[in-house]
Parts: sequence; structure tokens; C-alpha cells
Amino acid sequence: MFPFCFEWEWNPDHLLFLGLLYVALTIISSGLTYALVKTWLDLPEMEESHDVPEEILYRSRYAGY
Amino acid sequence: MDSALFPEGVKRCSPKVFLLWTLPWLCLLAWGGLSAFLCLYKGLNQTNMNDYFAFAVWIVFDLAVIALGAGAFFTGFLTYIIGKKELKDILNAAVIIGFICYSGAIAMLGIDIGQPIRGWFIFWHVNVHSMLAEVSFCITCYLGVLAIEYLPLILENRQLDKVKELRLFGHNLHGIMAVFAATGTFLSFFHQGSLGGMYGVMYARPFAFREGFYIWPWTFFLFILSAIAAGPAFTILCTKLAEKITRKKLVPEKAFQTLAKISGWLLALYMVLKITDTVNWIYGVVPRAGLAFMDFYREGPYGVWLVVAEIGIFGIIPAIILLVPKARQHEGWLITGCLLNCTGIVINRFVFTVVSLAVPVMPFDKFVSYLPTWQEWGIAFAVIGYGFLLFSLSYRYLPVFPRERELNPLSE
Repeated sequence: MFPFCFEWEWNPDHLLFLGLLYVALTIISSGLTYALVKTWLDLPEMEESHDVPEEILYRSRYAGY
Repeated sequence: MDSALFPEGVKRCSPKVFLLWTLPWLCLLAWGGLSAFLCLYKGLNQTNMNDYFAFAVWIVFDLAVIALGAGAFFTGFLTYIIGKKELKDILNAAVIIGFICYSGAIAMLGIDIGQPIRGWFIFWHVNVHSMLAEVSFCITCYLGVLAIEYLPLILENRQLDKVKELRLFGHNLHGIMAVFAATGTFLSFFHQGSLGGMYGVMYARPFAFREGFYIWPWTFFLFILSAIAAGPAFTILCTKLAEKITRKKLVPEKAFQTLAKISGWLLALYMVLKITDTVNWIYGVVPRAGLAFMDFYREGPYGVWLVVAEIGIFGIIPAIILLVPKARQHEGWLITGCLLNCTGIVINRFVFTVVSLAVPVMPFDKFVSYLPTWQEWGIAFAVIGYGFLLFSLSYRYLPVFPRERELNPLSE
């Protein structure tokens, strides 16, 4: 539900409930967008150097373990 | 035939053996598929649900798998936020189990609502005061988070890993996984709680009604606590089962012990609060409703034995097993403790769903019993089949257990 829907009410209940939902959705979509954009930006650099991405602490590069 | 897809340096069974292993799970899925078709085509008259039992076996299964799937968010929280690094060896398994549980639960709810085509109504025409609306929002969003957490593991498949774009994308997702883990923790805390809150606010049903703090009844907090106590135990159970079936050591003992210890402490705390809540209910809510404790257990098969089973056998005993280091270090006792812990939470969700509805609330009401139809069982068991199938496929083709190669060196 968006604020322009007829059922929307400008009261704390709607703001809190749907506000938190949109915060969560924004974080998730921002995270995904960040990963996609970073991949797009890093790709030419990776092709030039033929480097393997650096190790990350958790769950990384199991196939090359 | 498919060995090029296996993770590097590990051994898997032949395709023929694997196909045989998947057959029973495919049969369960086929049974579920037929049941789902009948429910969607002919309607919910295919079930034994009625005006008394609007919540039935599907909701019991839903609540149980959502609680058991809590191992995913809680293990992620412990690994990424608290920094329990030894849990990274079991985190992938926890994420897959969580994904199976949540996607299975949502699929089952899709049938349960009768008209899935109107499923989006709950999001668009939302009642912001409804606990169930909060649950719907959070489990849907959290399934998205779980899919994102699962994705980098899929991209580490040996063949997909060769595609550098995918490899880099997976790597970048790994880099910000803590953000997703924190979001998942936030979403999970609220939906696990709201599932309990949903029962606690039913003031017309003294069997389920509880007082609480501000807008949240005590069941809100008890459901969160019971889920984070049982979720890790279920992750241990599934991983131990995978070890038994594959006859391999897949996860170092330290990861099991850390999870079991945390699960034990949380279960002990839950038991203390659950007993306090039950005593408070017996001497507070029940007499104020003009009833006595035994009034709820006079008719039908749901006797006082359920309370003894839930709190004593499947609560206090597993808490003791998981808390005593010597007991949990013994594999048999560890599995027993986890099994009792998980059974306890299933009983808890069953009691709140089915017994709450079965117990009469008005003087002219009578005890109403309910047994699921084969279609209801079919859909519920399909989730189990789907779980085994997805976990088996993930184990076969993805590097689910990062220490597998080290713990099971291949002889040349």
C-alpha cells in the first residue's frame, strides 16, 4: 500500500508499520543494486589484471578451497 | 555423467544411486502436486477445514517449519553480527534449510488461502493492526533475503564459477552479506513474534489468550525465544542426518558444539519463561475467564499429558542434555537432545493452533475434533519431499560444506 491509495491513513500506525516495511525493502534492494553496480564497475578491472577477487572472511570461494 | 558439476575435490554417488535416492521425495512431491491441483481446481472442500478449524494441519506445519527454519537467521546473526566464526562451517546448510522451510511454508499458504490469485490483497489492502499482516509481510521479505543469501552459494557451482561476471557478482554479494543477515534478523524477530502474538491476542479464547507488554502478549516473546532455541537444533539434526547418509564428516565438531550450547541455553531460558507463563495463565487468565485449568483438558484426546510432554519431556530434558557438556559431546545424546527440542516446538505450535480451536469457548459449544484429509497430508508432506530434494541437489552440486574436502581427503 502506498500513501496515494485511498485506504492509506496519515496516522502513526500506518507510518510505523509501512515505514518499517519500506525501510527493509529499501535496504534489500539497495544491497542488490550495490552488488550489481560494483560488479559492472569491477569487471573491466578484473579483465585487465586477470586477478581473482580477494578473499572474504566467510563463505567465500569454496570451490577453490 | 554429471561429475563436472560437482564441487572440486569431493566424492559424490553415481547418478543412478542419486536418482534412486530422489524417487521417494519425487513421489511425495507428486502426491502434493495432485493435492494442490484438487484444492485449487475444486476448492477447499477437499480439506476437512470448517468454521471451527479455519487453521488446521497446514498452519501447524507452517508454524513448525518457520520455527525450525529460524536456524538460518539465527546462525547468520551469530556468524556475521556476533562474530562466531566457527559457525561459517555450518552456515550454508542453515541458509538452505531456512530457504526450504520458508519457501515451503509460503507455497503451502498459497494453497491455504483458497484463491492464490488474490494473495496480493494482504499486501495492498493491509490492516496495519493485524499480527497476520505483519507475518505475511515479514515472511515474504525474509524469503527474499534467504534467496539472496542462497544465491552466492549457487554461483559457486563449479561450472557457474567459470563465468567471471557471475563469480564477481557472487563475490560482491558475499562482501555485504552482513547487511542482509542483519535485515533478516530484524524481519525474523518480528514475524516469529507476531505468529505467537496472533494467538495471544485472542481474548475470546482463554486457552490461548495471554497478557503482555504494551501491544505484545507474552506469546510474542515466547515464540521468538522458542524459535531461536529450536532452529539451531534443527540445523544440527539435518546436518547430522546428511553426515549419516553420506557417511562423511561434513562439519567440524566445534561448530556443532557451539550451536548446541547456544540452543541449550536458549531452551533453558525459554523453559523458565514458559513455566512462569503457564503458572501465570493458570492462576490469572483462566480464573478470570470463569474457568479452571482442567476445564481445557476434559474432552477429546488433548489431555493434560500435552502440557507434561511439551514442558517436561520435550523441554526440560533436551535443555539439560544440551547444557551438560559431556552429554552434548556424545553424538547419540546430542541427536536425542536436538530431536526432543524440535519435537517440543512442533507440539507447541500444534497446541496453539489445533487445541486452541478444539477447546469449547461458550457454554453451548461442544468439543470438535478434526482429522486432515489425504489432500491436506499430501501438501504438508510435499514440503518434506521438496526439502529433501533441494538439500540433496544442493549437497551434490554446490560446495555446501566448506570443510568437506579437508575432513574427507580423497585417497589417490
